[in-house]
Amino acid sequence: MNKLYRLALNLLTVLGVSLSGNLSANEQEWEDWGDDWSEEEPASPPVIPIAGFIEATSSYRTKDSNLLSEEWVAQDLRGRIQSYYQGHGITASYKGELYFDGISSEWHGINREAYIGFSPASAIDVRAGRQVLTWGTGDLLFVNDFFPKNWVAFFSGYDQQYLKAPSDALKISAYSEAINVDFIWSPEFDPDNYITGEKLVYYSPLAGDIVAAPPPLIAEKPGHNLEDGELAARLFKTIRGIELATYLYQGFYKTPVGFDPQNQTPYFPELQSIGASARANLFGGITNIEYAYWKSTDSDNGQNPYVPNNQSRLLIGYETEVIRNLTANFQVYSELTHDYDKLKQRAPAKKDRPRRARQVMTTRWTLNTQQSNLVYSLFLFYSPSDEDYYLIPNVMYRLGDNWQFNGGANLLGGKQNYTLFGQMETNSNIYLRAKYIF
Amino acid sequence: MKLIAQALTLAVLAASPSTSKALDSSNVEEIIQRANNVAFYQGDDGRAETRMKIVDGSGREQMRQFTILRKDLKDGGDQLFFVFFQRPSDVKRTAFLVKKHIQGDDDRWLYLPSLDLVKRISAGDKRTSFVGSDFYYEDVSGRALEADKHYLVETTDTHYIINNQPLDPGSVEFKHYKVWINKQTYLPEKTEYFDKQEELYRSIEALDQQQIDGFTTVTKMKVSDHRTGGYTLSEMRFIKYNLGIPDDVFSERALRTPPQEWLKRPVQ
Repeated sequence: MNKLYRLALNLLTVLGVSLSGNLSANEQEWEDWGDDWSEEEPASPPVIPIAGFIEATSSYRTKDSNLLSEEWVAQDLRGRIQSYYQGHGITASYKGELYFDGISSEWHGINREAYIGFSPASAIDVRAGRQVLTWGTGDLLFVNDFFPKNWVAFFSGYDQQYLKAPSDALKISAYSEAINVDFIWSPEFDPDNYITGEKLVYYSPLAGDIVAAPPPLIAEKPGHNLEDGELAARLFKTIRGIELATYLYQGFYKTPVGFDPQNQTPYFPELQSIGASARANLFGGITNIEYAYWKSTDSDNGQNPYVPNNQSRLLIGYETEVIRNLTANFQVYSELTHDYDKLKQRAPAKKDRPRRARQVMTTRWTLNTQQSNLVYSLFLFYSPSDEDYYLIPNVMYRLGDNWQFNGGANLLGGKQNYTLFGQMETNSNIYLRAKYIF
Repeated sequence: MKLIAQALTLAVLAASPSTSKALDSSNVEEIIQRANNVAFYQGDDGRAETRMKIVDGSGREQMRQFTILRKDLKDGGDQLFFVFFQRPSDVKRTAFLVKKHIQGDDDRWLYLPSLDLVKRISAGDKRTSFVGSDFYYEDVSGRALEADKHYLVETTDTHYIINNQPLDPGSVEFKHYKVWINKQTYLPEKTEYFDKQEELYRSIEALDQQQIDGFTTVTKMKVSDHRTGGYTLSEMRFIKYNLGIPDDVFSERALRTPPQEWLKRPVQ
């Protein structure tokens, strides 16, 4: 009896469900969003939402390196949790990651973002703490952006968001009809995550050859005094769709391009920069131009042979949708080294000095298919003056809201082993990434 | 007294057919202009929270959730849009800013929070997928009225049926499209797109509408791709008009620091 009763109940339940399902199939489709989206505002703020992802990255070296025995450039599994809160006049963001490096078999943790933002006055925004910072108009070329970058991640096939490393900084933005200002102070110098020879090899001017760790490239950092921090400012305004900006920077080269002969160590020489940019809708696409004058304070106008000379850097870019869903971007970039004759005297060998004018051309092609679920892209750097290149093909596939897959390559090479991309020929790799987003 | 009321009713009854008749016969342009204003220019500004369920031909689902702020600089003219994403979690805090120009290309910016990057994007083809859904950019911000020739092909008891033919057939994927405009509310309730072979391949339907702050507002829509069998359902909630949003909310500042005051849900 009991069994029968239960069976009947089950049947009823099943029938009931299917009946109600039949009756309101349409209604259900509208309601099934996976979470609540109620009309009532919760009385107290809800539990702070946690999101994140788990991502596996593998990059395999495509060229034999006689310096590094490891065939893998990257092999890691990474978990991210993040939370963002906005309310009561403040914003707060946290992004933390824990990852296992399969090459060194070590666990690492990093706080990628941990900041708080508020507006002390209606026209002022303040953001303090660990944050990712970006400005300027270039596509993978940085003229006035001195915020830290992770070149190791970039060349190893990680997600492109990792190219930007976080800064521990205070950012104050002020807005007005006349002009807008961003002012950023990093009390301690944040260097780039530069190539040290551990997973990627590099050209050492000291050795006059490609080198790898051990020993890794260790450089002397600026101290912890007030004057050893970094200041960056931007004044900007948009006039009739034209975005205009000027930039100032007081700090240090972000990679150890100087050499301290006393201590016999590489270091980060002092750097001051002033620049400007403009960006607008022009010729059916986006056109941008950006300039900066880099003053290498220690170079003493080319007298000091151990640091780079002053430089002018100019970038011109154009991006347009060529046909439906296919976008193309072109950039021409030039670095002009000042006091070049003095440099020639102190560094007679070509490989010990940059070209008087180093040129780089880039192009990016992006093809969106299947409503952006399948995206093909290709990025090429080519330097006619250095005769080297860097090619990044990538295919991204999105499966639902939770899965993303990327496959691609970092292919580098050049005529000489001392140019920027030429030195990294044996760092070339193919990569695969799988990401589960929650 | 009763007589007066009856007389008034008669007068109203007599008057209304004649006005709609005037629209029926002579002025297609006026119909589509009114429909355009009802669909895209209600109030001086507005905000809405939107959810989209994107279902592809094999039944796989994706979600999008975002808040839209809109401000009209002129009815039927230039507009400002700010879109702030909440879902899915990998695009949360992504923001999209559009300055729509009737003359010339729109200005568009995208903010990518993981890079803190304000990317300017070329105006491009407006008949491409909006945020991965079956909606096109043009479905969201409106198609320029001057881009098509409009013909009133039928007037039913409830609708004006307008056929639209592109002036530049090479710039679009359709041969023509038909719009059903409600005679009372002027709301475009259904749009059907036909290809070169006269085959219906895409349609947009308004499935639900409400009166909000005195404005007729579509709250549920469906776009269907009849070739793939895929479709997108879109639902709008927490809609409010005439909030008095200042122009400077539609700026780089908002992209980097979301404007809390205007994004928060209004007190209903």
